[in-house]
Amino acid sequence: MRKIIFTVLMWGCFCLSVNGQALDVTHFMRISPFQHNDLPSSSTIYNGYVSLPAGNVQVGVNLGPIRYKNLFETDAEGYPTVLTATKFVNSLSYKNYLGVNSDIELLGFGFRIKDRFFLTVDHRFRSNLDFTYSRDVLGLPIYGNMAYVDEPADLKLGINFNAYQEYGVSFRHQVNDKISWGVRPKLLFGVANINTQYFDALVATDPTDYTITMTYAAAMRAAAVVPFTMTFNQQDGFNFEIDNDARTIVGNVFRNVGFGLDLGFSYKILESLNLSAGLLDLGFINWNTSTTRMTSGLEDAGSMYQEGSFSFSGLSQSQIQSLMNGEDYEELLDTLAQYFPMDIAPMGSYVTGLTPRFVLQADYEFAKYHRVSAATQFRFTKNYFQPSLTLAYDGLFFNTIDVCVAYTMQRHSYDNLGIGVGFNLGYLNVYAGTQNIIAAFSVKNVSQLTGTVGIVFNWGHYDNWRKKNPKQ
Amino acid sequence: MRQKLHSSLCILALLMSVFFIGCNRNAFDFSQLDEIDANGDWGFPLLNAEYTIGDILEMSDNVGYLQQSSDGTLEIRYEYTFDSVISASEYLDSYFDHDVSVEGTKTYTPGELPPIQGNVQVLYNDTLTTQFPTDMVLLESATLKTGQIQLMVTYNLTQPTRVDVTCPQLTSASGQPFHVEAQATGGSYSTTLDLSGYSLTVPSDNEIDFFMVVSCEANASTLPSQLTFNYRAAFSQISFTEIRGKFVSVNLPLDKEWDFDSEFLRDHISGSMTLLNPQVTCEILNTFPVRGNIVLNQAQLSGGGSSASLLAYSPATVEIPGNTQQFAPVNLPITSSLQLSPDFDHFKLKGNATINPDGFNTPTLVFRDDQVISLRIRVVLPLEMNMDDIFFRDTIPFSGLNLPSESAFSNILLRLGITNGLPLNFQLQAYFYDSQTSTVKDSLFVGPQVVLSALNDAPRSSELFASKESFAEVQRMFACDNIILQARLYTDGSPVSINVAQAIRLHLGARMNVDLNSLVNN
Repeated sequence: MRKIIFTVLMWGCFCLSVNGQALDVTHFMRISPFQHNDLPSSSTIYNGYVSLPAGNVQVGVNLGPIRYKNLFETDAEGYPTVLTATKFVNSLSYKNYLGVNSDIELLGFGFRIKDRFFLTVDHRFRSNLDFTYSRDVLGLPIYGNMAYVDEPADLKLGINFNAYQEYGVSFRHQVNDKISWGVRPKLLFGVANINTQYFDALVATDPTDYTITMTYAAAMRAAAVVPFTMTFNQQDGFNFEIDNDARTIVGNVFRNVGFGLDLGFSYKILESLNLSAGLLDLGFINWNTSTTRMTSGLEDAGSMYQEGSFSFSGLSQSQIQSLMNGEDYEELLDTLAQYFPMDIAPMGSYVTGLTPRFVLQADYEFAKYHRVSAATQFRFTKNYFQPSLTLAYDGLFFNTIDVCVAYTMQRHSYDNLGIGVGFNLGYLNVYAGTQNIIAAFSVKNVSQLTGTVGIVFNWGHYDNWRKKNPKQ
Repeated sequence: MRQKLHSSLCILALLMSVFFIGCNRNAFDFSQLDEIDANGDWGFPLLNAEYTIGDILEMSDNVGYLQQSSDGTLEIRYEYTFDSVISASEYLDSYFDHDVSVEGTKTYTPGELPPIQGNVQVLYNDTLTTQFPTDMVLLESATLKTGQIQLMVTYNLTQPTRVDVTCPQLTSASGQPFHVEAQATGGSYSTTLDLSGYSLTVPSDNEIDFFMVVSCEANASTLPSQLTFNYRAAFSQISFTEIRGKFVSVNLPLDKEWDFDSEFLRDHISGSMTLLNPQVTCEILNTFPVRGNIVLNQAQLSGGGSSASLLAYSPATVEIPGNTQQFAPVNLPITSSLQLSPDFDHFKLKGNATINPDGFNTPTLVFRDDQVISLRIRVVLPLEMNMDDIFFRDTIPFSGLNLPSESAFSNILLRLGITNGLPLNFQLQAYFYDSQTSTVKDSLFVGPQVVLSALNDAPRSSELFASKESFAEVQRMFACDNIILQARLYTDGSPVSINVAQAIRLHLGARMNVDLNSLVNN
């Protein structure tokens, strides 16, 4: 037990130094049949269930280090009056994250096969936006470039947006009283993707003569089932057109094919102590529809291009002369723009990975229908590692009311007290939860806004079934 | 079951209501959000340009007298050509500016008359000898451009007479000797004839002989007892196209001057500088067939109440070679240094010219009326100099700068990095002048900023800083309508040369605090 407690504490310490998205509070609720979404090896108390259309809706916004109280100063009545930009940038880390994700169970069902097997089939619509940005992206316009004379401003942006349909079949096997495992292969159909391969810029300022030196490179890919064309040139700028022909769109729905896999393993150390691990969302999507690539970088367009960098040390003699002769300064800007060419063009198919997660969870049932859990999740976005630690209590009262309280810590976010409430109404259970109930009372301090609601038909209680079939 | 479901949904709804009602809705009412707390520290490079002396000259419209020598050295060059300082036509015309004539009276008795030949009685037959002055020219021949000859004879005889005048020394353009034949009545004959184009041959002593014969029909009974003839032959309005002969030495006063444009120097420079090794090139075009000399008493630049002589000493004699056909340089003794004032705008040359100094000892010469002596004076002042308190000043009209709001910028620091390739030290200052109130509102620098000269031809860098704490100061500066740039130029003691390739690199940057709130709201 000491080892377990020590291990949990180590997870917690680790999570203090990193940030990421966490498991939803309803994941810990006993009456929710969707625990297998995050741990395929986890069991459910039902013998079977059928979810209503859109019967489980999970939406989350993770603002990362963004806090209302850091962004705004309010008057006595609570109205925001000042945008405290400097304070906000001061609160940022070197790398920062903003995420929006949704997971909607469009249709699903599951049922127990004998005692040891449980099979679920589901159709989900999932989307996730992972936006990473370095502090200097906002620090440069707020602090000014002279704040970056010792170290260059490191401008990094990352966008990874995926929207896709997921058809999954989950299979759980209770090997014995201690061990169970689960697997869920998934067939994916991509809807839209925006994906930066890299967006890196360094902006340095010479402290003596204020010469600004910059390196820059960016590449991004996009695809969607809605056909679109995007072009860019210096004269006309961006041109974006969408072909909203319904037949074409429908024809594209199943063209971005992908595959995914969830794996889970559980081990019951003691009668009341269970350890689980899950490896989730391993897979990829092959994007084929309206695939477009945008690249941009520095080009040798003149004297300001020096050894791979753009260096602006002031207007030259000829440029000054041109301006004095009345030439439009926009021509000068056009000249500068030639150093930063951008190319947008259709491309062939490309593959993006899903955002894999690794979940470790310990459940300790200290009384019947009352358990505490400690779970950590490691989420692997591109160039970014997002762990979180959640401590949860879940209790079922009167065999009807399920109450779950969870505390989640992430970097920049240590005040996430979540609550979930569910009602088991026989063949129907309803539940709702949020990972951050504090947001309702102190919105200025929250960094996460999440919510989950669900209505599920179920039948058979496993405990009752066990009583009736003690030998299976 | 239904009751449970109802209760459950009610409780869930209550919880969700608490969630949303608990939110302070005022916190998301951004209607009163009108301020941004951000004050960035920005630095921008504004100008990074290199200006050579040649570039600066190209940009200036009115400094044509600042030119580049063959080795690139910059020099001040004044040049002027005095056409026809001495012209042969004037010289010759002055020689013939008075009439040359001969007149007299002769008396005969009928018995002294020559015998009658046939029916003709010769009454008068004599030679009228005219003589041009011999003090300036000993003529051998000449071609008249203009001229008239007046012939007149009166006598005491009433009957008709015949007058014949010939002059073999005068021949027309067609080669015919001069000959006049006329009938006269009433005792007189007078005529004036045009001699333009006639050639004149003078065997000796500048004398021209006219042979005059007066005759009548033979009838002695009608002749008076004494015949009296009054005669006159006079050249007038004589000018020559060409004269061959020997000429006397001629002295002509030389007093020439010209004004030149010195606007750039006068308007921008004050003080004086010592220019070393000035050069004055005098070129003479002499189409006279004879040499001469000029004794210069004065060759000087002047203006603004001061002057500087270009001559090392005076009087200075300049030899004029004969018959150069094109401008040929002659040597002038030039001073080794010159105190140049930017107010100089006048050049004066004064002295005496002597043509044909050997006079009649010179062999026969041919002078034509198109022969001239012209002078071309080129004053070249290489900018090799010493200077101490030279002040350059330029006033730049200034208006129309649309400055942002007052409070957006503060702690403004202008940094001017100068890499000076010129061998001159500068003390720079800029003043902001309001012509409406005739007051200097502000200066760019707290005090004049020193820019060091190049050292051993290696450019040296200097940094100049101008700081303004508030933007109000900047606004006050740029509310003025003129910027006066002033620079004190000085050398380190040893002479320096200004070369068009010498450059000055300017690196101007501005650093300031930018209040984002003011920038956005204004």
